[in-house]
Parts: sequence; structure tokens; C-alpha cells
Amino acid sequence: MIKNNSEASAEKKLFSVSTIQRRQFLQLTGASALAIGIIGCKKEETPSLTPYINTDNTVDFKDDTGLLNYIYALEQLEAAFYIKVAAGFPANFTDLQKKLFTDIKLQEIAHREFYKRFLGATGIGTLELDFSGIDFTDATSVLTAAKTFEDLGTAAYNDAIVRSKNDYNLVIFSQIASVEARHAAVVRSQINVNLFADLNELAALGAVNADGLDVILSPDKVLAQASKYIKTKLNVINL
Amino acid sequence: MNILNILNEIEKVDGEIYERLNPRRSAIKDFLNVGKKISIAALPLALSSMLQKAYGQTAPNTAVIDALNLALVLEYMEFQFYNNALTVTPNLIPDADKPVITTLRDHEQAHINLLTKTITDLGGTAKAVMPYANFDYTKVNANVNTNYGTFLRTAVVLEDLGVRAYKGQAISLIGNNAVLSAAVRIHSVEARHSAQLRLMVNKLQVATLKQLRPWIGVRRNDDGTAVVPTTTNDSMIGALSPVYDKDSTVANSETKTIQAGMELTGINGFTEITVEPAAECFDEYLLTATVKTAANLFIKAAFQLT
Repeated sequence: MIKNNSEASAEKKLFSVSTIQRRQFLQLTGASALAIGIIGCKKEETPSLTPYINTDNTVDFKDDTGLLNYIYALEQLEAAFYIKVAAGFPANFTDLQKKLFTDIKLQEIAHREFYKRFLGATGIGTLELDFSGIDFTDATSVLTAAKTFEDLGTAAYNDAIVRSKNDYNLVIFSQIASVEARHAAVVRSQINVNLFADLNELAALGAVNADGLDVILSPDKVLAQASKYIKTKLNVINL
Repeated sequence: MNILNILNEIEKVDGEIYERLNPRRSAIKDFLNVGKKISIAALPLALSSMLQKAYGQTAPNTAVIDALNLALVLEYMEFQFYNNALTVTPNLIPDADKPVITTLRDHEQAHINLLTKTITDLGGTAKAVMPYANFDYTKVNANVNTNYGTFLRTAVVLEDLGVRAYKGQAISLIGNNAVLSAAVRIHSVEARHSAQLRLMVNKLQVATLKQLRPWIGVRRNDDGTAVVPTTTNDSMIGALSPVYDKDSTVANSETKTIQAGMELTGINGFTEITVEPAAECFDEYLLTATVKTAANLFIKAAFQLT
């Protein structure tokens, strides 16, 4: 890739030095991008190795830790909601509905505990939540709230997959995104079977029926909708 | 790594770097997107890819095209299945269920249109339409066109495969956020499809599938207990194992309960998280080779994926 001396000196007669450098650079692209990468790396600051401990419910979107904490907050919300539902199902819930909602409750608890352990000291604490707007004795109220949480969760996960900076986290988000979508379809189907994937109705959350595309919503929009259920103050930064 | 440092260094030897990048805005945009989400170790490779695009080598990104074309085959497979039922054997579907099957069919058609356009826009060649006759939908049972339960169970398997395949292709789409965004939004639609179809199978209450759930995990007996060993998936048909089992070298079967190195069964002292929710709370991806093997179960010999 680097020209031999005779070729290079011949070219010097025809082109300025900078032109030659440029031409050599053009030949380098692709084959030796590694070298260019090192040029860039040389000027990089050495990152601090002090472990970060999250003491004030910080959700810092400068990296994936914030994204994970944001999703962890949503999982706390979902798990707490279904725990409350399962503690006393609405009177007209069918046996199948009780079974399905118990399944969902356990899966959301598993998600919550997964993030809790995954984030460790970098994680936010246990959030204080407020479900005062939901009538847990009324099936319609419960189903409507569940639908809101699951569609919002699916929209948040779809965005998080695209937003994640680390492909390891991308895979985790994608693994749970489809589970949340399953929940959403099941809850919607309890309201009306033809709502299970009603992308027209979901347009407000970013779905596009003409393209068969599901919901997707940025964290600021999701948090704006979720905040009425979250009493603990989250320190959201760099969003 | 500071990307601007790199570009500044390049500028010293190529004063036209920014103009060079500008006419191909997609190249720099893709790159900046990539920079956000890949490890430093992989960055030189991504930089190389971006610079190749910027410096005139405009060959389409074959990994992205291949990923989209694989997805397109699965969409043809699903679309033809639903469309045939709705148009050729409409008596198979109870009237009450026709709107659901129609929604499924229409979503798959929308996905076909979107994938075809995206591939073309990226400079690739979309896989040509595969007609119904290219497929073999008899793996669950040969009575697929006369038995509604078989029809629904076959649909479940096709959708579950789709969900796993899109998940597996997401990695190939890192760096192209527009395409990745579309893929993940199709992915969750497929998951909604699977859940709805699984509910419909459950509703039929056929023996051995009375406890089938809308989420994938370990198999439950009709009395509700989990099948032991818990490595048995909930599909009930051995021939369908490629759809639910692991990739050859990756422990990612749909029955797995360990995620990110952590055992989810009983996680953090929560004993109620038994093996069923521990397996169901995460879906699993399938990589390209395994997706092709599974897809070929439903494709006639002459048209199989290689």
C-alpha cells in the first residue's frame, strides 16, 4: 500500500507533497483504517476507573447505563401494577385471564429483578409508585391501564434497541421487547380480539399501519406519560 | 475514541474530506450512528466501512441486504400462508376469526412492500416474490388446509420463527438506524402476531396444548405442571425443533433461564420465579444459518435457502 521509493519520487515530480500524501491516504482507506483508528485513539482521554454508585436515582442518558435505568424504572412500574392486579383480580376476570395476568406479573418481576442485579450499584433505587387513578376492582379499568403500560413499554423498548450504544445491551433489549409486545397483544385481545395489533390505533405511539410498523417512542415522551405513576423524583440528565 | 480527531487527521492529508463525505451524506450519517453503538475495538472496522463509502466504493452493504432479504423470504412464507387460507380455503377460518387472519395477512404484505423498497433504496436486489407453491406448510400436519387447529399451530411456528429471525438480524443492522428501527418495529409486530395466534390455539383446547401460552418457554402439561426435563419447548412437534432450539454453538434455546450470565429462576430470592416465567420472560434470537435451516422446513426442495 505504501509506494516504493522510485514510484514515490517519480510522483513527487508531478504532484505536490500534500497531493501525494492524499493519494497515499486514499489507498490506505479500508485496508489500513486500523492505523487511522490509532491516530484517533492517541488523543483519547484515559477513562476514569472509579466505580460509579448511583445514590440519587440518576438516569443519565450519556450512555447505556441511563438507558438501562430508564427501562428498569418502567419494569418496576409494570411489575408493581401486575402485583396489585393479581392481589385481587376484578370479579369478572375469567380463569384464563387470571392465568395470563399471573404469568405477566411473574415475567415483569423477573425483568425488574434482572435489571436490578444487572445494574448493581449503578441502578436507581426502588421507586415509589402511584396507581390511584386505576380502579383495581374494575376489569375495564385494569385492562385499559395494562394496555397503556404494555404499549408504552413496547414503544420504549423498540426505541432503546435503536438507541443503545453497546450491542450487548441491544440484544438484551430486543429479547425483552418481543415479550412486552406479546403482553400488549394479549391484553389488547382481552378488550377486543381485533385490537391485538391495531397499528392505526397505535399511531399516537409511533406505529405506521401502512408499513406494518409497530410503536416506537423516545424516552422523553415515554417518561412524560409514565411520570404520573412515578412519585419518586428521577434525576434524568443528558436526554 | 474521538471521531473528530480522526477526521481532523484525515483533513491534513485530504482537505476535501468533508466535501467528500458531504455528497454522500448517508455514509457519514451511518458512521456517526455506528460510532455511538459499537465497541472501540470494532470502530476501526466501521471507520473503514464509512471511508470506503466516502471514497467512492459504493457497493451496497451486503450484510444489511442479506439480512433484509432473509426477512423478506419469511414474510413471503407468512403472507402466502394467510392469503391462501383467506382466498383459496376461506371455509377453513371461522367467520369470527377472519378479521384477525386478514390483519395478519395485511401486515405481512406491508412488510413485504417495505422490505422490498428498503432493499432497492440501499442499492440491493430484493428476493423475487415467492408464490404459495414454493412453500410446504405440512410440517405440523398434512391436514393444514382442512383442520383449523393445524392451520393455527402452523401459523404460530411461522411467527415464532419470524420473531427469532428478526432478533438475530438486528446485529447486522447496527449502524443503519433507519433500517434497524424498521426491523425492530416489524419484529414486535410479529411478536404480537405470535401471541394472538397462541391464544387462539389455547382457545381450541386440543389435547397436549391446553396450556399453550402466548409467550414461549418450557412445555406445560395439560394439568398445568411444567414438563421435566425443562429443556422441552412448548411446540410439541420434534420436527419443529429448529425453530425453538439453540443455534449450533450458542446456548439460546427458548427454554433457557440464564440471561447475561444470571440464573433467573429464583432470582434475588424471588422463589415465585420458577422455571416457567424464567424461560418465558426473555425471547431468544436465531442466527442466520439456523434461521435458514428452520425456514427450509417450510420451503420445497427446489426453492430452499442455501
